[in-house]
Amino acid sequence: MRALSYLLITSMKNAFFQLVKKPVMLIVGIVFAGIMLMSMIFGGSRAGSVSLDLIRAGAFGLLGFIAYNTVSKGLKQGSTFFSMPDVNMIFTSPIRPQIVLMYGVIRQMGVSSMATLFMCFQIPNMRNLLHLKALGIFALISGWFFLLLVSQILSLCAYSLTAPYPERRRAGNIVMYGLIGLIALALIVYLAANGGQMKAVIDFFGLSAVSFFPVVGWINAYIFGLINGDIVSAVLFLLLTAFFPALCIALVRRTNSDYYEDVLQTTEMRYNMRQALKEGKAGAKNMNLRARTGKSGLMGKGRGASVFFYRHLTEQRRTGRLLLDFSSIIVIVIAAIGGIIFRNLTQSGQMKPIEMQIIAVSALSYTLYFMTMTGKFTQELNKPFLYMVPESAVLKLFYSNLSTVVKSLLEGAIAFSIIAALAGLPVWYIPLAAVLYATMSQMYISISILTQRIQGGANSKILGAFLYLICTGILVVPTAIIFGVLQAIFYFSNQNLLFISYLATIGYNLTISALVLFIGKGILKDANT
Amino acid sequence: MLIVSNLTKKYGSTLANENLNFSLDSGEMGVLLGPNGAGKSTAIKCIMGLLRFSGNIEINGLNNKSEAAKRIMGYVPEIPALYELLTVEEHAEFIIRAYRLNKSAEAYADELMVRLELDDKRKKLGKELSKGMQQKVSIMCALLPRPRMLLLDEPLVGLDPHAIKELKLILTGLRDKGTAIFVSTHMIDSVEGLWDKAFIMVNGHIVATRDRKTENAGEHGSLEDLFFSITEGRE
Repeated sequence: MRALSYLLITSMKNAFFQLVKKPVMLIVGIVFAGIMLMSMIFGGSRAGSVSLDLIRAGAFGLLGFIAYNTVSKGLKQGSTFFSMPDVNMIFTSPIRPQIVLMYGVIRQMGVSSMATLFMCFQIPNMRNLLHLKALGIFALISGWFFLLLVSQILSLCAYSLTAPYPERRRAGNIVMYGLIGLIALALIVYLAANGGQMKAVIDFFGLSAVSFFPVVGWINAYIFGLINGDIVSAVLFLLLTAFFPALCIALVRRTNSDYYEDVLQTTEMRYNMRQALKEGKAGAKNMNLRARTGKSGLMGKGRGASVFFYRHLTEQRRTGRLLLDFSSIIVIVIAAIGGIIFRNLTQSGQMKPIEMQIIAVSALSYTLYFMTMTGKFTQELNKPFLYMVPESAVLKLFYSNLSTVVKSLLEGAIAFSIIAALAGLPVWYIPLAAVLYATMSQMYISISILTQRIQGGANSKILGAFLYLICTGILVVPTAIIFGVLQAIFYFSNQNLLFISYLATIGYNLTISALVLFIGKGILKDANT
Repeated sequence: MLIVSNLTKKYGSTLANENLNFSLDSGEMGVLLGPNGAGKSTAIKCIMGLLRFSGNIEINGLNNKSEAAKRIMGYVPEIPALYELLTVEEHAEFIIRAYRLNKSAEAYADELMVRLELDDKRKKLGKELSKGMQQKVSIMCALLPRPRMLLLDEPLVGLDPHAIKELKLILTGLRDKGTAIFVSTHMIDSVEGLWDKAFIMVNGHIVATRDRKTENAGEHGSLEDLFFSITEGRE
């Protein structure tokens, strides 16, 4: 263990000194810590009254989704706690595999802790919306940490115990989907017996029997046990949560000390993806997708610049995701949760429909800010074809972005339909909000092009992110102002004309995006700019 | 030193290695040649104990996955991945601890760093090194425990001419001192003149073996001729 503790301690020590040596990183770190501290002390003055039962149901859904996603990925393609240097230097050294596995778990605890840090930003909301005290906040944050850690451990164990045996893998899938089917069936039966109202759904997740649903139910029971002051129950469910992964690890240790192969492929894949991302290689994000070749040939009839759009469609078809991807699922889930919260708030008279409309469009457009940077266009810029094809630069920019914009349109149509249906918003809102959302996607892409045009050959991620932020401020703030001012004017003059504020904002976005495309077309002059 | 018997490795329904049989004595250098996708890296990973397989692999009479076997093995992987937050000399320190090496290993680490021109990069973190430099650190880590069985997977890729020359000198020196060396490569000219045994691998099978000891000089032409006659189907 001496070598492994040396490795962990030295890595941590060097990470700290790196932070001190690089002032930019240090400043970013201090700003980050400052924001987090400020948000803990001053953040969120608005007191709300989202019911704890609703949060319990929502938490069950969110925890369940993350656990399912992690464990099913583990069953399909494996999971790993390890890095490529671990494979090259630790797996081949005379250290016992059982000790190496423990090192992996400790390392994973560190990774989960970092992922939990971001939950601290939500402390003001936990305090003000849920009226949680210190113990309750601790419960939510620690519950999140346990879920991340336990689902990763289960994912690795599930793969390690089932990978070499197809029949075991089938059994693993049957158990996982059987459990999901069981809770779905129980929910349907409960709804049928209790009138099928939304309240019944919320009540269902408060039943003590649901607390015994493996891992997700236990962690939820731990969290809400602490929040409700039922410490004994919380501790018991925490022990159950800790015992189960420990049992799985013990099982792996006893039955499969030869687990290196089980993590090797995933580790290599993750390493290659990270390297490709670091080097800015195209398609890095798609490296771990399973692609089916299927029908040969590009979809559609694209020629010239439009061929980029059809190529993107063909690639999407091969990964079996049509135009929607994981980020779309996140947006749709956010929309569904938001729709339920909006409905409760309007029913209790705390929010007006117009506020909901504005918040929904603004919040989802805000999420696009983070998602557009990783779209198809960014990948396209790292391949030579966009520069080489003898077509108009503006058309090439347009078509290489089209799949992202169409994706946003589809995503928006689904998300705003859900919100409108749940919160009872007018039908005209759905297409207008979806188009506005799609034009916001085009705006962010245009800003990305502009940023790269300004940056030229300087390949600095920090400078790039800074310029992107500045350009977003300059170009998107007017979007918000136009939208906000027109909404206010029509709200007080004639509410039947509220749709004009959407049309005007869409018009502004399209005009600015087109202008930026013309300004930024020089980006395709050569691969260095 | 190395005995591989009936080694078969399957990934699902894909057969990567089928029924491989070969051996290597102490003080011998074996080269595993083959086109891309022939199964060379899989065979090396099986020998290193990173993969499950059917068949039997012995290192100096020991099961290749045993701690005792790993203690006498060194491995230069195809992908020279280093710990990003460990410096070059800390990588050496880590290996010294992991293999429980004695004090003399520190002096050996210094010697290797000088020979591989890593001396001025001692304080550099893994993430600050170029691909070639990472490969050199990877080689240093493999050599540090003074392995009696050294496996190298495409070791010359990314190295500069000086490093290639130095590595060849190191390998011949180790071989002369009794280390068994097994190199996988598709750069035939880089191992011409160094090998004692050559195994040519195509589609997961060893299709030809040459042993320098048992053949007269130039009897079968160069290794390159043999390789192309097999892989391109020439007579």
